[in-house]
Amino acid sequence: MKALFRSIYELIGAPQPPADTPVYRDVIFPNIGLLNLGISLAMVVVFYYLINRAMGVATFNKGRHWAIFLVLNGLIAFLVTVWQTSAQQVTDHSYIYWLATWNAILGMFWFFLFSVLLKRGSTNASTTPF
Amino acid sequence: MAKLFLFGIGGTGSRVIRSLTMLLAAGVELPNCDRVVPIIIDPDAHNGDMNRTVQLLQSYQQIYKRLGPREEGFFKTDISTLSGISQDVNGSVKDTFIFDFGGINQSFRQYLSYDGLSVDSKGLVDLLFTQDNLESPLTIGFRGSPNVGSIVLNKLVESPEMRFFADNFQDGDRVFFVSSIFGGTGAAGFPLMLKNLKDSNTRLSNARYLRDAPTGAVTVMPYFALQSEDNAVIDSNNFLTKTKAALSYYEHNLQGLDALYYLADTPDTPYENQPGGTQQKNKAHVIELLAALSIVDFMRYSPAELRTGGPHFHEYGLQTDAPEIQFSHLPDESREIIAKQLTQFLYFTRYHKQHLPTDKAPYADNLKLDYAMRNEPIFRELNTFLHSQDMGVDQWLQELAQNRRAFRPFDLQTDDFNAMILGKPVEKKWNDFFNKGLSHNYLLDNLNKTEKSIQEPDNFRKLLELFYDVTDKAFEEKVKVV
Amino acid sequence: MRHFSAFPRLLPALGLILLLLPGCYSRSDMKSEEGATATSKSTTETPATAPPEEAPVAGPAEDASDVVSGTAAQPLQAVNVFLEVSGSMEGFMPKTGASGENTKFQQHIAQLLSEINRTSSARQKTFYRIKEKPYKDTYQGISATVRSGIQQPAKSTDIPSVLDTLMSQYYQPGTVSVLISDFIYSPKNAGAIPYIKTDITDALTRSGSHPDRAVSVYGYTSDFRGTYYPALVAAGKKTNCCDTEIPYYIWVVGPADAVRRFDAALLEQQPSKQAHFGVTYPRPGYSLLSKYQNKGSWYYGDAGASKRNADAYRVVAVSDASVQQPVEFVVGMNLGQLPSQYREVGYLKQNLTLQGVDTDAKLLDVTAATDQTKASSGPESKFTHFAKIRLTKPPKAARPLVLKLQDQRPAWVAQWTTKNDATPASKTFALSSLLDGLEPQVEGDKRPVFELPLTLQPGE
Repeated sequence: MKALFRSIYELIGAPQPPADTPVYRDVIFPNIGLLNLGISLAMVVVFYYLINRAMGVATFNKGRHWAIFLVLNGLIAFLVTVWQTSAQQVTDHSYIYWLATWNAILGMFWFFLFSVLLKRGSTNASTTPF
Repeated sequence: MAKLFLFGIGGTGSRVIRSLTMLLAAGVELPNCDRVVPIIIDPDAHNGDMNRTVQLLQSYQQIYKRLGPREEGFFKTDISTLSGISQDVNGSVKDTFIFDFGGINQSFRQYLSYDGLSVDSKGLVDLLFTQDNLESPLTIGFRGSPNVGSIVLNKLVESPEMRFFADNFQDGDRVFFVSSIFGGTGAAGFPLMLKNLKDSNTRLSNARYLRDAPTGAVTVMPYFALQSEDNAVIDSNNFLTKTKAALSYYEHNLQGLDALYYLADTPDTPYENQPGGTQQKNKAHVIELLAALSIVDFMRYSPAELRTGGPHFHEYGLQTDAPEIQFSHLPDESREIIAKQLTQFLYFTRYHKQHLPTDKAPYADNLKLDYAMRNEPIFRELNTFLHSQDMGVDQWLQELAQNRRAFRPFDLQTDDFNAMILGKPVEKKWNDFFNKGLSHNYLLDNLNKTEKSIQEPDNFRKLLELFYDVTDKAFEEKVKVV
Repeated sequence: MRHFSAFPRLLPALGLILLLLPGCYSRSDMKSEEGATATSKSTTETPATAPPEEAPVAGPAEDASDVVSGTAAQPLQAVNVFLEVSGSMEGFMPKTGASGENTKFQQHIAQLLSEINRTSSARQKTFYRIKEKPYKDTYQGISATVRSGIQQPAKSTDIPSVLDTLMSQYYQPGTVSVLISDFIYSPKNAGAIPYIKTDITDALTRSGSHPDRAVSVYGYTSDFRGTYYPALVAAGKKTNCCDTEIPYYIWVVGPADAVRRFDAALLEQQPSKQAHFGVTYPRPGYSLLSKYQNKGSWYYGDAGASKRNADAYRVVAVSDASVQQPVEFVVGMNLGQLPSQYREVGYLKQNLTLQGVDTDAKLLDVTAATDQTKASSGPESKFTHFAKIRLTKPPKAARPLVLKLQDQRPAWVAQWTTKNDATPASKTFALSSLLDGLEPQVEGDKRPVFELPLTLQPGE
């Protein structure tokens, strides 16, 4: 699991500063990785199953509504990264924001992936985003 | 395959058939019958009422062909032309709902070959017909002159259509006549037709079946007045006189009839006086709807019930004498038959107009509505049926609502589904946070939900089934009773 | 009622979220867990500084000796204090004059005796005066001797025989002998002078081999009022000596562990010259510091580095190193438990060495803690000294790297040694030779003060 998240997050390069490498690899990557998966899944569930099924909202199913959730998901992923890094007291470094941006992109990717996988189960958004 | 042969005689016949078509489109059940065969008998080939009824019937037919027989739903009952019920071997019967008069564009004088008649005959003719009768062209019908009509219509029996009809008449089929008692064509045609069908010496085939067939009729008595004009051919002041005369004839001369429905109303606003032709396009009237209901009522009786103690005579009374009839003013029996169906059909029609073209929703995507509505003919046909300015459902309901007396169970101006049934707004419950009554959201949600559960490959069939189910649910959940 | 019926459908989603949240890794969680186990252990055994499994040099046995302060809790069995009362010592303990003046020796030793008598670091305290052999005395007796002068000075005491006596009769586990003397050793003739070392060694080993025997030597000077007897008898004694201060010594003899503890408890606080022979010290606490004067691409390579308490990192994972971008890292060391001699930055700079395999790692500098480091919120605040190491070549595989502090004879020994003590001075005859006799017999046995193993490995 750690190795997986490490390989995913080190696609944008090794953690900076180098001294914080163990914290990133052992704590932050798995944390934000899992949180990101969880949050993306939760957002998808909220969009497709809560709003567009359980709550019976039928007019919040357009591509733009989905996009709102997508962007929101990216934003949360970004903030989660910033929060995690500050919670783990790593050295302040511009890398944090690169990582956060990468995490946001990953979050949106997960959201997209889960959307494709789970949209069928939705009542009112089963054809969103396409 | 029990059939109902429905003879609509004259302008009234066309209009009642129009109303019946609407009821059938709304999914009103017509028991003891799989197929309705309307035969419009009107020599006025350009009659506006008739033409739009025919268009409507054709549209219905197209839609039904695509839908096929089902347990329930909109357009549930088959409507067929006379030629459509069987392969016509010699092709003498046209595939049309209209009885073919063979294009009589003569005057009555010419029709009778008046000029070639003997002097004695001429004298008799002169006694029975006015000069006006003789000179008037038959192309616009009999213009309120039963004496003219009876002569012309008596010839019908010998037509290929009647023979084809008799040839294909089967045990269990029923016959129903719609006519007005105060007009020309109807008043004359109905007793003649009946007499010829039930004639024991008839030359028609299946005579026994014809004689034994359950037969009903609705006779519409005066319910409107015409504006008095000095030179008008039809004078509504004669309506009552004519009615009286006809009734006294009916009293003794309607043999073989099992049920007869009388409908009448006190006239209110006079109609514009149009004796016939394309201008005779009268607004739909509640009396026609009730006449159509009499057909439904007739079909609800079993043959045994009809035969015992007949003929049965029926009249109709409103629950309340209201100038604008809402569902609550109808007697319970009528309300049970039409209220829910018409409401569902209205919801469908309104949704079809307001939301269907713009809905971006899974149900629409799965039905490929975007493409279908623009390109598939059957979807355009449905659009015509529902929204045609001339004959559509919208128009029909508008006319009913605008007429005197008005049938106005719906608020046709509102976009709010909750307020569509007049006198019975849908209660919005506080806990239905997202689905306030019959919101677009509520309907959309149910459309999406129901769409998933319908296993139907054909998207048009699916669309109609879907809307029938959803409007049914909407009615049961939100309206409950009217 | 829709939303009520809808709620149960949300429960799986809620459950999922609840499952995910506690699954998060957290350093603080790990810390508190480790902290809990560490505190529960510390009373009974050495602090749990788990060995880094990937470090080949740092075996478990070595790490087990990472004692910082654990055994100080156990008091010594016994302390035997021997005060030489020969004539040459009279000058240190003159009879109290009219002016009431006393010597620094009197001041110092009286106080030391008192401290020994009172200390809780040892259970049993016994005091002896040494003449030709030890005579048991009471604290009061010996204290009075120091304060008011030697009543009946012995003729002379022979250092080897005294040492022999100490080793044969008083050498016990957990027991130290404290010998207070001027250590002026007069060989029988000039020809014996080259054999002083051997005499001492012999004296110490005559009663049997004690591999853990250790001697701490503390040197002091004091004003001297009396007759000065130089080692070389031929030079003749000097009366009414002296204008200069004369050295005297405290030798602590006993098993290494006992000596260390006694030193730490009673002698370490006193400013003095000192030299230690055979005393072993627990390995000081040390750790890599990844955020203190660090340079280049490296990080803690210890397994679970992110989760442990930040005081025991041993593995340097080097991602990248070059001449242009060298890696520099600092090892924090806690030398507080070592004798002050070993804590001097000067001594450390000279004697702290770095031994590596297959690496160009060099010890750049050794510094002591400053107010700044002490006040820091980082882990550097816990350490008293810092060794900065630089390398420019990334390791190819895991390699050991050891910081080693060599035990060197302090410079003062040479300065305090004289070949001719005919003229009284702050020097002692043949001191170096005497101390040579305390050194281990085999040169190779001489152990470093401490060895701090580290591991260099390539970054992953």
